[in-house]
Amino acid sequence: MSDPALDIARCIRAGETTARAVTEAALARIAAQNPAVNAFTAVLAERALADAAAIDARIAAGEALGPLAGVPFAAKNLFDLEGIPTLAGSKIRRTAPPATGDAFLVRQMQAAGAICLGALNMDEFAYGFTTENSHDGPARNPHDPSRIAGGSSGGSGAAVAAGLVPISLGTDTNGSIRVPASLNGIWGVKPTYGRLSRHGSFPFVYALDHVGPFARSVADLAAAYDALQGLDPADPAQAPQPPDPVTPALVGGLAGLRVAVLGGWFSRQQSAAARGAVAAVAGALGATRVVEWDLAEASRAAAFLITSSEGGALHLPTLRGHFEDYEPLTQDRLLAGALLPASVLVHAHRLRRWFRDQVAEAFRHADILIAPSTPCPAPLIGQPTIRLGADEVPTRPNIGVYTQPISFIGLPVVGVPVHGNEALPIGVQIIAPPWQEQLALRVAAHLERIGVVGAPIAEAP
Amino acid sequence: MLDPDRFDPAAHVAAVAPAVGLVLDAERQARVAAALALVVRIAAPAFAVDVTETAEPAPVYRP
Repeated sequence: MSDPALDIARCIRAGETTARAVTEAALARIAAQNPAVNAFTAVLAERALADAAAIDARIAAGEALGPLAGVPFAAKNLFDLEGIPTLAGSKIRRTAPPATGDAFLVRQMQAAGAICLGALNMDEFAYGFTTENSHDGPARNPHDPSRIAGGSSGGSGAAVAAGLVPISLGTDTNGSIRVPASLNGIWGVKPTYGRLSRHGSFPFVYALDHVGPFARSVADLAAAYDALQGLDPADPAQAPQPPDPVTPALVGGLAGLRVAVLGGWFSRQQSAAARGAVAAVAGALGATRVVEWDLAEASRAAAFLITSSEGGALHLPTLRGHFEDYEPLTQDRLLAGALLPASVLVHAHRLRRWFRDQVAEAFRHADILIAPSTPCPAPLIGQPTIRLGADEVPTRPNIGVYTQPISFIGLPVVGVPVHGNEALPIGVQIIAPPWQEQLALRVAAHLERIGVVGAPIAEAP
Repeated sequence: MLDPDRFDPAAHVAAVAPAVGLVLDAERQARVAAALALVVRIAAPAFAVDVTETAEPAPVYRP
């Protein structure tokens, strides 16, 4: 089993290669392969080569290096990267002043020795599950370029799945890490709400925004997540929770863990692929008990309301004069959200508290819950509808039907990639109680070890 | 709470958009009303839950 990121760091530390050679190879890969997937919106070659030279100089000087020394990574283009405007997928921000510093997560990756290669494609202002970005073009799924890479962190998912970089950073408000992880067949972690600092990332919905990494192995994912942890007074939503490194827990296996499957809302409307993926993971984990939350559908609806309202409110000042400069696919949704009455937003927040209490009760009887990440594998680019049960529903707002209730109450989730016998991968959510990311990663590591899941580099047909 | 069956998205957009400073022509108003109708349709299960007075949103949300 290989760990693409950690293997690179190991080789550099052992003197088998250099950070410069790794960086040059990654830049060459991006130049050759990015046109097929459209994952990168900016490649920062000069910065990356300078950082690589600094890493090599430190090695030559005998200095101790971080666990990700020399590992290439890239960040969704809503993270501040010093010297370039933070686009957040938009046209409007192309003339914004360049960022004067890096986002907290980017700094954390660099402190661990990782090297930032550039910025990644996304749905405009993170509003979408498809990365059909009209300004930059759609991110394409490396397994089949005629299909979406998911969103809103679609470039982050495609870049890792295509093997352009071993680690990327994304954000998840309603599923924007878990959906691309599912559709691109890679690993992603959406930590507990308030765990990782969001400082230096362009906001979407303050009440629901999370940040986290993608990778092609669990050890790489854990190493990135561990590097990203750290208290940051600049993020008012970060909880005063001490860092809790997960890497040591990966060898823990399933001992003592009670695993259950989410039923009800989470078992309706699935494609055969989603049903098969959940069954494969449940079988491997010996999970037979089914848990139902009667507020799950209402909670998904409430997350939808908070997103519409907060997203619309955030952009209202700019919408007044410039709504036609926004992504054509979301202009009307943002305008509609800005017009929602306050009473519905308050109602949704009150429901959030109730749902949290209901879920806390469920976790008294289970340590891990599993559910599909998406109702189906990657739809075609431009596909207007997907099938949910007997209904044809609009694609863009509905790919997150299973992720939204989970992020609504901030639970930590690892998205695990199931490749199965289908041509396209699909993901399963491994859901843990608040602040128990290590449990979800432990289970993910077990699934990877026994070969039920995995994230090989995507090969288009 | 808002009743999805009685809610009139077109009337709401026509009344509220100018009040918050959004100048939308008739065609755009119709599109925004359709988007609002979709939000309300998807949100209907949330409106159907009758929360009690004691369901207080956390002033500082902690999972």
